Amino acid sequence: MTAARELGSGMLEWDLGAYPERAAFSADSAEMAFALGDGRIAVIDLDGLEARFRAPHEGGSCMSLAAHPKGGWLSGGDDGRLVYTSPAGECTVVHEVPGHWLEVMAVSQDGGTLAVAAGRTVLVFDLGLGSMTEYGPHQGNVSGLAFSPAGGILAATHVGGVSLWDLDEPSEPIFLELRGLNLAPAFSPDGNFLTCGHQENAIHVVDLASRKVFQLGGLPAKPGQLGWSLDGRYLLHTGTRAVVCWPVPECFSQNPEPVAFAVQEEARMTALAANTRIPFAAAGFGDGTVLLAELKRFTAFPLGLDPVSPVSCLCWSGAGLHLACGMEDGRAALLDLGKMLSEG
Amino acid sequence: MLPIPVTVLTGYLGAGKTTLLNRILTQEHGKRYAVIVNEFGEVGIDNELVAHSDEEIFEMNNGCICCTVRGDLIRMVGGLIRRKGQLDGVIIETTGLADPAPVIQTFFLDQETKERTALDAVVAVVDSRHFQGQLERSAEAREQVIFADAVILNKCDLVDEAGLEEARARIRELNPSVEIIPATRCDVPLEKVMGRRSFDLLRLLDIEPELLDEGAHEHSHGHVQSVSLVSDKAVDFERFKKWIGEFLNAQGQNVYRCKGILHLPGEKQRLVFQGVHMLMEMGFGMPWKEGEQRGSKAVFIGRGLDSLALQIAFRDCLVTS
Repeated sequence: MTAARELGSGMLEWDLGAYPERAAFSADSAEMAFALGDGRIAVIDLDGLEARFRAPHEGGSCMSLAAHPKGGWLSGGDDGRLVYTSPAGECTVVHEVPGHWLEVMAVSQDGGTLAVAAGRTVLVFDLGLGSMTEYGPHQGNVSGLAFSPAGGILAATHVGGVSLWDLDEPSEPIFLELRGLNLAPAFSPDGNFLTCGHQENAIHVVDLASRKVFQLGGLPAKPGQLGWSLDGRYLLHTGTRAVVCWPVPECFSQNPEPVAFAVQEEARMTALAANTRIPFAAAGFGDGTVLLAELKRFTAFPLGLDPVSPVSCLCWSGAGLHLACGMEDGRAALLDLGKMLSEG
Repeated sequence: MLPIPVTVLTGYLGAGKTTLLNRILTQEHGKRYAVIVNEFGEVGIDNELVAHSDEEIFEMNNGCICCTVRGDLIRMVGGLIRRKGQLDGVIIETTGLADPAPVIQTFFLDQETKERTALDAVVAVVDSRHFQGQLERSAEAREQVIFADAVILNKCDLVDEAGLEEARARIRELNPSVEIIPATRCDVPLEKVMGRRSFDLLRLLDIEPELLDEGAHEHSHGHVQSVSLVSDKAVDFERFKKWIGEFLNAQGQNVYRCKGILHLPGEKQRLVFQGVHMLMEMGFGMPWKEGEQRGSKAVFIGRGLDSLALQIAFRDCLVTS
């Protein structure tokens, strides 16, 4: 158990003692959890305020994490195991794919469907029914997964393109060819566009109605995480030295102009989480700065964290009022947005 | 965080890579090394620090067919480094038939991998008994020697002195600058394999003198040759940069490795460069010592290299006073 430190204005911080790889909130937004590089997960009660540790991937690394809609957590590890950790802390292996890292995971917006990549195959779990379906094999190892907002389509990125699976009629996927290594798919909030990052410092935006693909090239670094503003007007990505918002669909024209603000001289953005309830995004940088970016007036202000170690993960609660932050040196922080705003 | 050294281990099937990896993983050396092995490969080691990859190679979109990288390594090297706590190194085993270039290029071309790791060396294990036959049959066996910074000449106990000398000579023909380490059951000191810093530009102090005579000369073996260029004159940097850029752009596909040390007029430090196919890095290396004989040297190993053209182009870059 690790106690919290008060950082003031709605911020709390914990030492978790290992690299936080992913963060997640429980369905009722009463708990958050971090997947840790030493095979444990840290579960933190938002009002109990003490971190409890579980060890679903003992001897390995915990690489992906999601909340189970009925309570507890599902995590993937480099031991090839998908493990359910109950609220009481009991760990059960749900599925095992020896030799594969279960690193890439996505959950549908309602929390009821979970997809996890195991090499070229994707395993999709209906968490209500407790059933599993296999999708694939894909052309290459699956590097990213995303559910459409309505939950009916699953996008899987890999070398050579993106595969779109209709989950209601799983026969053959729609395949969009994009040479090179694609990653980090993200659907726009209205489900009309799909974006994904590309190894070679580019982003592709797919208009799903026409299946036309647009490329934003020449970015300063590999866009490893993508996000959309709540209204779907802007696309954001990591790898930049500022918060950069590309207007969609205006960015399809020649020489598109993004809105860029909150320039960071020293560090690139390493983590990004767009809020799904309010027009905010959280942006974490390589020097440890976490910015709360407001996407109506395009202003940003830093959270009161010690900028000592790169930000490794960010996640908003379902209700959009809490932000979980993980730092590479093993610290975790929680922002209570309501408390921060009421305290000014 | 200091960059973590990465060693690439190549070698033909049965040469003894598994024996070497077992030594590295089980010896009492007080260090923590993670190993990435091919999932269909011959290495059957079960250890929490062993990860399995599927050698997923893809072409970059820059139009150069020699710019292939390993997608699985981008993911796995990042993962191992971030998650496993303090590692002293990462070893990447390639299958017996793999071309090592995509592995090396991954460390030049992926920014995050480049920032977090330091490519340490390419080490090839060869079977001194079967080596000659393998060289004749297999382009991969030749390429593995050509790309290597060090060759472990394994199974020395199974050949006589003459056979060993023959094997050494064949390795030298393919790669004149490589260090040859004789071994029996891969019993080589670990520091000969790990922490060699072969890709560290600061360590590139000289190119082995026995390779270089005044002027240029050439070793060739089948289609593979090495061309050495030497002069005691300084190099005009602008001219050299323009030439090497154009040369590698046009012929990088045929240049397996290159490296060089250049004397620039009025510059206290060596200018050093090294490259793999069309990728090259260049920077200032160690300063020249007081009274040291300065000079400019470069070695190219590749196939179908025009040694005369290289010689002329190099001479055109020299400062004539």
